[in-house]
Amino acid sequence: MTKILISSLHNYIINIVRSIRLELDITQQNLSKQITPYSETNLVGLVESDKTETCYNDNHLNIIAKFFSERAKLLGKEKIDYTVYDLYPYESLSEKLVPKTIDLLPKGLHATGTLNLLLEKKNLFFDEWHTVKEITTYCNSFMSQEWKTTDFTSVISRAEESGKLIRSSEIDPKYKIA
Amino acid sequence: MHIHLSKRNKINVDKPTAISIEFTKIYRVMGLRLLLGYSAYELSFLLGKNDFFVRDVENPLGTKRYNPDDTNYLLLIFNAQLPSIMLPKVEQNIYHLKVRSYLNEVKREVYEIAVKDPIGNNYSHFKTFEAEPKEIELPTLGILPSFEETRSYVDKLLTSAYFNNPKRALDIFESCKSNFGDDFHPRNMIKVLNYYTNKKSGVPKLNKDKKDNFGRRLFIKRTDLDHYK
Repeated sequence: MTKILISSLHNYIINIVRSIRLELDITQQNLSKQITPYSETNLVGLVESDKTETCYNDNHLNIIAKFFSERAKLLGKEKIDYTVYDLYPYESLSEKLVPKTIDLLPKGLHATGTLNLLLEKKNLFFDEWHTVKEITTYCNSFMSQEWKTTDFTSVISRAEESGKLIRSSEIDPKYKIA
Repeated sequence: MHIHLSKRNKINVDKPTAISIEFTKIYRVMGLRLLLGYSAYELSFLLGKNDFFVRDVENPLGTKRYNPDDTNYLLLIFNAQLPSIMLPKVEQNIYHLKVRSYLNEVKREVYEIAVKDPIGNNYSHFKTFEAEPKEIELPTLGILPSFEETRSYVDKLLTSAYFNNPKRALDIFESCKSNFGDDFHPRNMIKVLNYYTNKKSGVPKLNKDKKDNFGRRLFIKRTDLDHYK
C-alpha cells in the first residue's frame, strides 16, 4: 500500500500532540469534541491514522493548547500552561515530504501516557487480569523505564473511573481492559 | 458578508469571522517584514508563491492564510523563532471583524480593521494600512548589494553546477546570505533572478516553470530544449 506523504512539520505536530494527549489522559474522541464540538467525526483519530492525509491547522492547535492547559491544571500536573509553541518544533524544520508515521513509542511518555497508549492500542496484555504491580512491570519493560507501583496507582484508578479498565474485586484487585 | 456602497464610493464591509490565531499571525508577519524592509512581493517571491500571495493574505477581506507549513517556511526565511510571528494562544477562537476599505488619494486600497471586543458590541481599532504596489521598495537596514554585484554572484552560481539541480528562492537567498552576510536583503537577488528568467526583457538562463511538492517555485538552469518552448 502506498504511504501517505505529509510535511515533516505536520508529522512532528501530530506526534507531539498525541504524546501530550496520552500523558494528559485525553482520548481521541474527547479531544475531537473540543476541536469540532458539533461534529461526530473523530478528527483526532483521522489525524493519528497513517491512512489519511488529515492534519491539524492552527485553529486546531490553538484549541488543543487551551484544552491541554485546562486538563493539566485539573490533573495537578507540574506543567499547567500549554501554548502552540509546545506543539510546533522549537527549531523550524527543513521543508520536505515524509511518510506519515505515528510513533510506536511516543517521546516523553510517563506512566499515564504509557498506560493510555497500551489501552488505546488494545494491547493483549490487558485481556487478562493483572495486579497494579504486574501492570507496572509490564509498562516498565515496554518503555524501558523503572517506574514504581505508586506511579500507576492514580492512573489506574482514573482508567477505572473512565471505564477503560475494569476491576476484579475490592480485595486483591486486578484489572483488565473493559 | 454584507457590503454597503455609500455615496462617496466608500465600501464598508462586515466580515463576520476570522480565525484569531491565523489573523494575528498574518499581521505579526507583516510587522516583521516591514521591519526588515521586505515588500509583500519580495516575501511572496521568497515563499516561492505567486507575486500577490502575501498581499492577498494580508487583505482582511480575502480568505488566504498562512498554514503551518508556511509558518515554518517563514521562520526559515526570517531566521526567527515562532514567538516572533505567532501568539502563544488566543482566548477567543474567532474574531469578529469590521473592515472599512476605500481608495485613497493615490488610488490605493486602504483597510481599516477593527476587532469586536469579547464582551459587548464595541469594536476596537486593530490596524490601518494601505495595500502595497508590487514595485514598492521599502527602506532597509540590511545589506543591499547593487544589482551588478548581485548579478556577478549569481553568474558565479550559473557557471558552477549550482543550478543543475532545482533551487527554491529560499535556497538561493541562503547562498546569497553566506556570500554577502546574514543581513542580506533579497531585493536585487529577486531582480537578477527575474532578469535571468524573463524571455522578453532579460537574458533567459534559468527556468522557473516547475514547482516543488509544496507549490514553491523552482529555478533550474535552462537547457537547449527550453529555448524551443
